[in-house]
Amino acid sequence: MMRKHQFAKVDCNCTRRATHLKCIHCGVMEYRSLDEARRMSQGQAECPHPDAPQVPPQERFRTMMGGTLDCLAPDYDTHFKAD
Amino acid sequence: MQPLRVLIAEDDPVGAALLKGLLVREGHVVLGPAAMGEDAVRLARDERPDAVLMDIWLAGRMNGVEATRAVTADFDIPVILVTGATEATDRDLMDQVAGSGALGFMSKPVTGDALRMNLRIVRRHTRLLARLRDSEQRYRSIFDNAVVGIYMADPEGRYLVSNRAFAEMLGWSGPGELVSGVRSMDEQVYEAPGRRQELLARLRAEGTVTGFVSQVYGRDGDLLWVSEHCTAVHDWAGELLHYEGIVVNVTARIEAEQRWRTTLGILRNTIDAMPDHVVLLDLDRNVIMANASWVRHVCGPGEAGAAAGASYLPGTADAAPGAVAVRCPDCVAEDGGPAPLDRFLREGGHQSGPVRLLPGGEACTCSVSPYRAPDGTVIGAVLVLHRDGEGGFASAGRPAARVDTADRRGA
Repeated sequence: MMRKHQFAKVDCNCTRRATHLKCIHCGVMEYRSLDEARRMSQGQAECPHPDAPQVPPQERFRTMMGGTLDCLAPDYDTHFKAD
Repeated sequence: MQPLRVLIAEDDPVGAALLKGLLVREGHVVLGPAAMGEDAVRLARDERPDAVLMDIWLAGRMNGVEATRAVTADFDIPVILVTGATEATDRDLMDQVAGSGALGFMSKPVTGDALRMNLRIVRRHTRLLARLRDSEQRYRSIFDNAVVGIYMADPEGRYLVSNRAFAEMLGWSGPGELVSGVRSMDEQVYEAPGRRQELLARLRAEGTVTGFVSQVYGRDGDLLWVSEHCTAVHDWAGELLHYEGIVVNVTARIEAEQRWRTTLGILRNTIDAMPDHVVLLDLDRNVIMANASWVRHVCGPGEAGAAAGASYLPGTADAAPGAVAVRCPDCVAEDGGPAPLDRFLREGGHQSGPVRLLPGGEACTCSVSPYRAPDGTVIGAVLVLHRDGEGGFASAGRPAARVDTADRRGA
């Protein structure tokens, strides 16, 4: 079963459209806007970390037909606040 | 410093000469003097001076206060009133002076310092006014030339201001015609009764409303779809004074969505009308989509998934509430060899053959076709189970065979 990244803002106070995002599971960094993180292709979204959430087969199938995956963590704005 | 052109309105020749002397000494250009209020207004109109020194008591029927009102209102020229009266001697007159629109006030006898100070105020006022006009012109140009509609409306449902794009969007020849022609937005603009009240309620509660999509009437009665972004403007007490809206015509988008929904509905109904089981699977045998016949087979006729009665995508927003995620239909080949789906997963291509559907062992023909992504890669299979004779599963005349979904849930 495929797993997907969950990105959160590294600089929580950054107000730019594009910002540094980090996967809260595998730690991979991306420089993207929040909208882009909400609409990632299957290749961009796949996370190798075992704790990352699984993508249901139906959602994965949709990405193969041109759909996208939401890879924003629920607490994307505050997750790295303590850091 | 640039000299000012100053008009003197004074019926007393001695007073006029005194003012002229002070102005000339400061290097300014003197116009007049005008002895009567009417003359002062005429000279202001013809000569357009930078400022007017206006005595309150003038010869003729128009006094200095009346002449000041005319000059400031019609020509926007700063006026400084000059008089020997004070609040102690003539309170009524002083009240009139306050409401006359004069920029400054000097008591007689006028001194050089008082005149210099008042003319400095005039210069500053003129500069500010020019800057204001400049700014107004700039924003007016953006407002007038915007491709989106912009309007201001009162809570009672009348347009106060509109730009050209909005007037043209609704089929009016110009903003003036729209503002005077629409007496009630509830009756003349919004198609759905109460739609504007809904917008007002949200504006009162939230202050700003975005993406408010409504159907509105154009002037000639045609209906169009618009999306509004509105902001409420309140007075100091928090009462809604008026609201400003930015409007985009989204008729083409809404119509395209409606056409797309209709086409999708036709496709869904077509696949649901088929008496055969039609199931779209991924290469891991997960059900991606299935028609109503298969949903009834899996869930039974009385259950939630079957109640949807339509093709569905389990695990997505399309799935009926309570629908279960199921794996592909289990079946065994009649000849005891690999079933068509197993052959497809091993060899690819189109595969078919007689099978028995489990559980129950219902005999049918199974056909498996590859399903491709837009780039041509095979990403799944379309499986069709056709019950031989009697028109397929739909007309079997008995409840569809139940599948033990509990065993397959999440498998």
